Amino acid sequence: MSFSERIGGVLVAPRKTFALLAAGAARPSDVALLVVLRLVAGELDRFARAIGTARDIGVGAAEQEILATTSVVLPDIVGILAAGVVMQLFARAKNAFDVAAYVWIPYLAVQLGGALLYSALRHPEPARVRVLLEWAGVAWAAGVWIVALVELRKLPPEAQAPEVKA
Amino acid sequence: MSAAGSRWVGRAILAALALLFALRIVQLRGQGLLHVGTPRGSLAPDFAGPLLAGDRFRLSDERGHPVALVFWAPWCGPCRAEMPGVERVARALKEKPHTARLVAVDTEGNPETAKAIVDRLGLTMPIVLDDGSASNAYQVAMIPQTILVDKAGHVAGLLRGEQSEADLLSAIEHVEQTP
Repeated sequence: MSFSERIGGVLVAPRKTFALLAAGAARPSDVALLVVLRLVAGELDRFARAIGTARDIGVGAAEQEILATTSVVLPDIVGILAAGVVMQLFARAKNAFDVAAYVWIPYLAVQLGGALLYSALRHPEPARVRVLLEWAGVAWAAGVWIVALVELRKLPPEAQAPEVKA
Repeated sequence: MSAAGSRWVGRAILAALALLFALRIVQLRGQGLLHVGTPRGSLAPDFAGPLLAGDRFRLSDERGHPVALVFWAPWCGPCRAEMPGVERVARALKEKPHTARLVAVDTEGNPETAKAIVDRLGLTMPIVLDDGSASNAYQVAMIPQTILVDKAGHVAGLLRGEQSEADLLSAIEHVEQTP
Protein backbone atom coordinates (compact mmCIF):
# COMPACT_ATOMS: atom_id res chain seq x y z
CA MET A 1 0.00 0.00 0.00
CA SER A 2 1.61 3.25 -1.16
CA PHE A 3 1.69 6.65 0.59
CA SER A 4 -0.90 8.19 -1.76
CA GLU A 5 -3.16 5.11 -1.42
CA ARG A 6 -3.10 5.43 2.37
CA ILE A 7 -3.95 9.15 2.24
CA GLY A 8 -6.56 8.95 -0.49
CA GLY A 9 -8.09 5.77 0.87
CA VAL A 10 -8.94 7.47 4.18
CA LEU A 11 -11.09 9.93 2.20
CA VAL A 12 -12.75 7.73 -0.40
CA ALA A 13 -12.70 4.20 1.05
CA PRO A 14 -12.28 4.66 4.82
CA ARG A 15 -13.58 1.24 5.91
CA LYS A 16 -11.28 -0.74 3.63
CA THR A 17 -8.31 1.58 4.22
CA PHE A 18 -8.61 1.57 8.00
CA ALA A 19 -8.87 -2.24 7.94
CA LEU A 20 -5.52 -2.32 6.12
CA LEU A 21 -4.02 0.40 8.35
CA ALA A 22 -5.12 -1.46 11.47
CA ALA A 23 -3.61 -4.65 10.05
CA GLY A 24 -0.20 -2.99 9.98
CA ALA A 25 -0.07 -0.67 6.94
CA ALA A 26 -0.14 2.52 9.10
CA ARG A 27 3.04 4.61 9.01
CA PRO A 28 3.41 7.37 11.67
CA SER A 29 5.55 9.37 9.22
CA ASP A 30 2.62 9.82 6.77
CA VAL A 31 0.68 12.28 8.90
CA ALA A 32 3.85 13.92 10.24
CA LEU A 33 4.91 14.66 6.66
CA LEU A 34 1.47 16.05 5.80
CA VAL A 35 1.53 18.33 8.86
CA VAL A 36 4.90 19.74 7.75
CA LEU A 37 3.71 20.20 4.14
CA ARG A 38 0.51 21.90 5.31
CA LEU A 39 2.53 24.24 7.54
CA VAL A 40 5.01 25.20 4.82
CA ALA A 41 2.37 25.65 2.08
CA GLY A 42 -0.21 27.36 4.26
CA GLU A 43 2.07 29.74 6.16
CA LEU A 44 4.65 30.53 3.50
CA ASP A 45 3.97 34.27 3.69
CA ARG A 46 4.72 34.31 7.42
CA PHE A 47 7.91 32.28 6.96
CA ALA A 48 8.99 34.67 4.21
CA ARG A 49 8.31 37.60 6.51
CA ALA A 50 10.44 35.90 9.19
CA ILE A 51 13.37 35.82 6.74
CA GLY A 52 12.88 39.56 6.17
CA THR A 53 12.69 40.08 9.93
CA ALA A 54 15.97 38.17 10.39
CA ARG A 55 17.61 40.42 7.81
CA ASP A 56 16.15 43.74 9.00
CA ILE A 57 15.79 43.24 12.75
CA GLY A 58 17.71 40.21 13.90
CA VAL A 59 17.62 36.46 14.26
CA GLY A 60 16.00 36.68 17.71
CA ALA A 61 12.93 38.49 16.36
CA ALA A 62 12.74 36.07 13.42
CA GLU A 63 12.87 33.11 15.82
CA GLN A 64 9.85 34.54 17.67
CA GLU A 65 7.98 34.88 14.40
CA ILE A 66 8.86 31.34 13.27
CA LEU A 67 7.75 29.93 16.64
CA ALA A 68 4.47 31.84 16.41
CA THR A 69 3.94 30.58 12.86
CA THR A 70 4.74 26.99 13.78
CA SER A 71 2.23 27.16 16.61
CA VAL A 72 -0.52 27.45 13.97
CA VAL A 73 -0.51 23.64 13.67
CA LEU A 74 -0.57 23.11 17.46
CA PRO A 75 -4.38 22.65 17.58
CA ASP A 76 -4.11 20.08 14.79
CA ILE A 77 -1.38 18.19 16.67
CA VAL A 78 -3.36 18.34 19.92
CA GLY A 79 -6.39 17.01 18.01
CA ILE A 80 -4.35 14.15 16.54
CA LEU A 81 -2.96 13.26 19.98
CA ALA A 82 -6.41 13.44 21.58
CA ALA A 83 -7.88 11.23 18.84
CA GLY A 84 -5.07 8.74 19.48
CA VAL A 85 -5.48 8.72 23.25
CA VAL A 86 -9.25 8.20 23.07
CA MET A 87 -8.81 5.55 20.36
CA GLN A 88 -6.36 3.71 22.60
CA LEU A 89 -8.95 3.70 25.38
CA PHE A 90 -11.71 2.18 23.23
CA ALA A 91 -9.63 -0.10 21.01
CA ARG A 92 -6.76 -1.81 22.71
CA ALA A 93 -4.86 -2.34 19.45
CA LYS A 94 -1.08 -2.00 19.54
CA ASN A 95 -1.09 0.52 16.68
CA ALA A 96 -4.25 2.43 17.67
CA PHE A 97 -2.29 5.66 17.98
CA ASP A 98 -0.74 5.38 14.51
CA VAL A 99 -4.10 4.56 12.94
CA ALA A 100 -5.88 7.42 14.73
CA ALA A 101 -3.46 9.97 13.24
CA TYR A 102 -4.96 9.30 9.78
CA VAL A 103 -8.27 10.68 11.04
CA TRP A 104 -6.74 14.17 10.60
CA ILE A 105 -6.62 13.76 6.80
CA PRO A 106 -10.32 14.61 6.14
CA TYR A 107 -9.88 17.77 8.24
CA LEU A 108 -6.79 18.64 6.18
CA ALA A 109 -8.71 18.06 2.93
CA VAL A 110 -11.47 20.50 3.95
CA GLN A 111 -9.01 23.15 5.15
CA LEU A 112 -6.94 22.73 2.01
CA GLY A 113 -10.00 23.17 -0.19
CA GLY A 114 -10.92 26.41 1.59
CA ALA A 115 -7.35 27.75 1.52
CA LEU A 116 -6.99 26.99 -2.19
CA LEU A 117 -10.30 28.60 -3.07
CA TYR A 118 -9.63 31.82 -1.17
CA SER A 119 -5.99 31.98 -2.30
CA ALA A 120 -7.22 31.79 -5.88
CA LEU A 121 -9.85 34.47 -5.16
CA ARG A 122 -7.10 36.56 -3.54
CA HIS A 123 -8.96 37.53 -0.42
CA PRO A 124 -8.97 36.12 3.13
CA GLU A 125 -11.57 33.59 4.21
CA PRO A 126 -14.58 35.35 5.76
CA ALA A 127 -14.94 34.49 9.46
CA ARG A 128 -18.25 32.68 8.87
CA VAL A 129 -16.75 30.50 6.15
CA ARG A 130 -13.76 29.72 8.36
CA VAL A 131 -16.05 28.51 11.14
CA LEU A 132 -18.10 26.49 8.66
CA LEU A 133 -14.96 24.82 7.28
CA GLU A 134 -13.74 24.05 10.80
CA TRP A 135 -16.99 22.31 11.67
CA ALA A 136 -17.16 20.47 8.35
CA GLY A 137 -13.58 19.24 8.78
CA VAL A 138 -14.12 18.17 12.39
CA ALA A 139 -17.43 16.43 11.53
CA TRP A 140 -15.86 14.47 8.66
CA ALA A 141 -12.85 13.56 10.84
CA ALA A 142 -15.19 12.43 13.64
CA GLY A 143 -17.09 10.18 11.23
CA VAL A 144 -13.85 8.66 9.96
CA TRP A 145 -12.64 8.21 13.56
CA ILE A 146 -15.69 6.04 14.28
CA VAL A 147 -14.98 3.94 11.18
CA ALA A 148 -11.35 3.55 12.31
CA LEU A 149 -12.49 2.51 15.79
CA VAL A 150 -14.84 -0.14 14.40
CA GLU A 151 -12.06 -1.56 12.24
CA LEU A 152 -9.56 -1.59 15.13
CA ARG A 153 -12.02 -3.42 17.38
CA LYS A 154 -12.33 -6.16 14.76
CA LEU A 155 -8.66 -7.05 15.19
CA PRO A 156 -7.88 -10.53 16.54
CA PRO A 157 -6.80 -10.78 20.21
CA GLU A 158 -3.11 -11.28 19.32
CA ALA A 159 -3.05 -7.75 17.82
CA GLN A 160 -4.42 -6.22 21.04
CA ALA A 161 -2.15 -4.39 23.45
CA PRO A 162 -1.63 -6.20 26.76
CA GLU A 163 -3.76 -4.82 29.62
CA VAL A 164 -1.72 -2.90 32.16
CA LYS A 165 -2.35 -4.09 35.70
CA ALA A 166 -2.32 -1.59 38.51
CA MET B 1 -13.48 2.57 -4.44
CA SER B 2 -10.50 0.76 -5.96
CA ALA B 3 -6.88 1.11 -4.88
CA ALA B 4 -6.25 3.14 -8.03
CA GLY B 5 -9.01 5.59 -7.02
CA SER B 6 -7.52 5.98 -3.56
CA ARG B 7 -4.10 6.54 -5.11
CA TRP B 8 -5.43 9.31 -7.34
CA VAL B 9 -7.21 11.05 -4.46
CA GLY B 10 -4.02 10.83 -2.41
CA ARG B 11 -2.08 12.36 -5.29
CA ALA B 12 -4.73 15.07 -5.60
CA ILE B 13 -4.16 16.01 -1.94
CA LEU B 14 -0.41 16.28 -2.53
CA ALA B 15 -1.04 18.25 -5.74
CA ALA B 16 -3.37 20.60 -3.83
CA LEU B 17 -0.63 21.24 -1.26
CA ALA B 18 1.84 21.96 -4.07
CA LEU B 19 -0.69 24.26 -5.76
CA LEU B 20 -1.29 26.14 -2.52
CA PHE B 21 2.48 26.56 -2.15
CA ALA B 22 2.70 27.90 -5.72
CA LEU B 23 -0.21 30.32 -5.19
CA ARG B 24 1.43 31.66 -2.04
CA ILE B 25 4.70 32.20 -3.96
CA VAL B 26 2.83 34.16 -6.67
CA GLN B 27 1.09 36.27 -4.02
CA LEU B 28 4.36 36.92 -2.19
CA ARG B 29 6.02 38.04 -5.40
CA GLY B 30 3.16 40.48 -5.91
CA GLN B 31 3.48 41.82 -2.37
CA GLY B 32 7.26 42.18 -2.53
CA LEU B 33 8.88 39.08 -1.06
CA LEU B 34 10.88 39.55 2.14
CA HIS B 35 9.79 43.17 2.42
CA VAL B 36 9.38 44.24 6.03
CA GLY B 37 8.09 47.50 7.36
CA THR B 38 7.09 50.67 5.56
CA PRO B 39 9.97 52.40 3.78
CA ARG B 40 11.03 55.84 4.97
CA GLY B 41 9.76 58.61 2.73
CA SER B 42 6.74 56.64 1.55
CA LEU B 43 3.24 57.90 2.24
CA ALA B 44 2.17 56.62 5.66
CA PRO B 45 -0.81 54.25 5.17
CA ASP B 46 -3.96 55.80 6.54
CA PHE B 47 -5.90 53.91 9.18
CA ALA B 48 -8.70 54.58 11.62
CA GLY B 49 -9.77 53.00 14.87
CA PRO B 50 -11.63 53.63 18.10
CA LEU B 51 -9.84 55.37 20.93
CA LEU B 52 -9.93 53.69 24.34
CA ALA B 53 -11.23 56.91 25.89
CA GLY B 54 -14.02 57.11 23.29
CA ASP B 55 -14.19 58.93 19.96
CA ARG B 56 -12.25 57.81 16.92
CA PHE B 57 -8.73 58.33 15.58
CA ARG B 58 -7.89 58.70 11.90
CA LEU B 59 -4.27 59.26 10.88
CA SER B 60 -5.13 61.41 7.85
CA ASP B 61 -6.87 63.89 10.21
CA GLU B 62 -3.46 64.55 11.78
CA ARG B 63 -1.85 66.08 8.67
CA GLY B 64 -0.04 69.30 9.47
CA HIS B 65 1.88 68.03 12.46
CA PRO B 66 4.13 65.00 13.07
CA VAL B 67 2.69 61.89 14.70
CA ALA B 68 4.52 59.16 16.60
CA LEU B 69 2.67 55.84 16.41
CA VAL B 70 3.80 53.55 19.21
CA PHE B 71 2.70 49.98 18.44
CA TRP B 72 2.35 47.94 21.61
CA ALA B 73 0.13 45.36 23.34
CA PRO B 74 -0.81 44.79 26.98
CA TRP B 75 0.58 41.21 26.94
CA CYS B 76 4.01 42.39 25.74
CA GLY B 77 6.51 42.78 28.62
CA PRO B 78 8.95 45.18 26.89
CA CYS B 79 5.95 47.30 25.80
CA ARG B 80 4.70 47.58 29.37
CA ALA B 81 8.21 48.50 30.49
CA GLU B 82 8.40 51.19 27.81
CA MET B 83 4.98 52.70 28.50
CA PRO B 84 5.80 54.97 31.49
CA GLY B 85 8.55 56.65 29.45
CA VAL B 86 6.25 56.91 26.43
CA GLU B 87 3.62 58.52 28.65
CA ARG B 88 6.13 61.14 29.86
CA VAL B 89 7.08 61.87 26.23
CA ALA B 90 3.38 62.22 25.30
CA ARG B 91 2.92 64.72 28.15
CA ALA B 92 6.08 66.63 27.14
CA LEU B 93 4.73 66.92 23.59
CA LYS B 94 1.69 68.81 24.86
CA GLU B 95 3.96 71.71 25.84
CA LYS B 96 5.18 74.31 23.36
CA PRO B 97 7.24 74.48 21.18
CA HIS B 98 6.35 70.86 20.40
CA THR B 99 3.97 70.24 17.54
CA ALA B 100 4.04 66.45 17.36
CA ARG B 101 1.42 64.18 18.80
CA LEU B 102 1.98 60.71 20.21
CA VAL B 103 -0.57 57.94 19.80
CA ALA B 104 -0.23 54.41 21.20
CA VAL B 105 -1.67 51.72 18.92
CA ASP B 106 -2.79 48.68 20.90
CA THR B 107 -2.29 45.78 18.46
CA GLU B 108 -4.38 43.46 20.64
CA GLY B 109 -7.40 45.76 20.36
CA ASN B 110 -9.08 44.47 23.50
CA PRO B 111 -10.50 47.42 25.49
CA GLU B 112 -10.61 45.46 28.76
CA THR B 113 -6.93 44.47 28.85
CA ALA B 114 -5.90 47.90 27.55
CA LYS B 115 -7.93 49.62 30.28
CA ALA B 116 -6.36 47.43 32.97
CA ILE B 117 -2.86 48.53 31.91
CA VAL B 118 -3.92 52.15 31.45
CA ASP B 119 -5.35 52.20 34.99
CA ARG B 120 -2.34 50.43 36.48
CA LEU B 121 0.24 52.70 34.80
CA GLY B 122 -1.85 55.88 34.93
CA LEU B 123 -1.62 56.46 31.17
CA THR B 124 -3.33 59.51 29.69
CA MET B 125 -2.04 59.40 26.11
CA PRO B 126 -4.50 58.52 23.33
CA ILE B 127 -4.71 54.76 22.76
CA VAL B 128 -6.11 53.41 19.51
CA LEU B 129 -7.60 49.92 19.64
CA ASP B 130 -6.33 48.29 16.46
CA ASP B 131 -8.38 45.57 14.78
CA GLY B 132 -5.28 44.51 12.82
CA SER B 133 -5.65 47.06 10.03
CA ALA B 134 -2.96 49.42 11.32
CA SER B 135 -0.43 46.71 12.19
CA ASN B 136 -1.03 45.02 8.82
CA ALA B 137 -0.76 48.30 6.92
CA TYR B 138 2.58 49.04 8.60
CA GLN B 139 3.68 45.37 8.54
CA VAL B 140 4.45 45.44 12.23
CA ALA B 141 6.32 42.18 12.75
CA MET B 142 7.44 42.92 16.30
CA ILE B 143 6.44 45.17 19.17
CA PRO B 144 7.20 47.60 20.65
CA GLN B 145 7.80 49.56 17.50
CA THR B 146 7.43 53.28 16.87
CA ILE B 147 6.71 54.77 13.47
CA LEU B 148 7.29 58.47 13.03
CA VAL B 149 5.10 60.25 10.50
CA ASP B 150 6.05 63.77 9.42
CA LYS B 151 3.65 66.69 9.05
CA ALA B 152 3.16 65.90 5.35
CA GLY B 153 2.04 62.37 6.18
CA HIS B 154 5.20 60.52 5.11
CA VAL B 155 7.05 57.88 7.12
CA ALA B 156 9.99 59.73 8.64
CA GLY B 157 11.44 57.11 10.93
CA LEU B 158 11.15 53.67 12.42
CA LEU B 159 12.25 52.79 15.96
CA ARG B 160 12.28 49.07 16.64
CA GLY B 161 12.20 47.64 20.13
CA GLU B 162 11.97 49.31 23.52
CA GLN B 163 13.10 52.96 23.44
CA SER B 164 14.36 55.09 26.28
CA GLU B 165 12.41 58.25 27.02
CA ALA B 166 15.35 60.41 25.84
CA ASP B 167 15.82 58.51 22.55
CA LEU B 168 12.12 58.62 21.74
CA LEU B 169 11.82 62.34 22.46
CA SER B 170 14.98 63.10 20.52
CA ALA B 171 13.74 61.16 17.45
CA ILE B 172 10.39 62.97 17.57
CA GLU B 173 12.09 66.36 17.93
CA HIS B 174 14.24 65.55 14.91
CA VAL B 175 11.09 64.96 12.83
CA GLU B 176 9.52 68.15 14.20
CA GLN B 177 12.54 70.15 13.06
CA THR B 178 12.65 68.61 9.59
CA PRO B 179 11.06 71.06 7.13
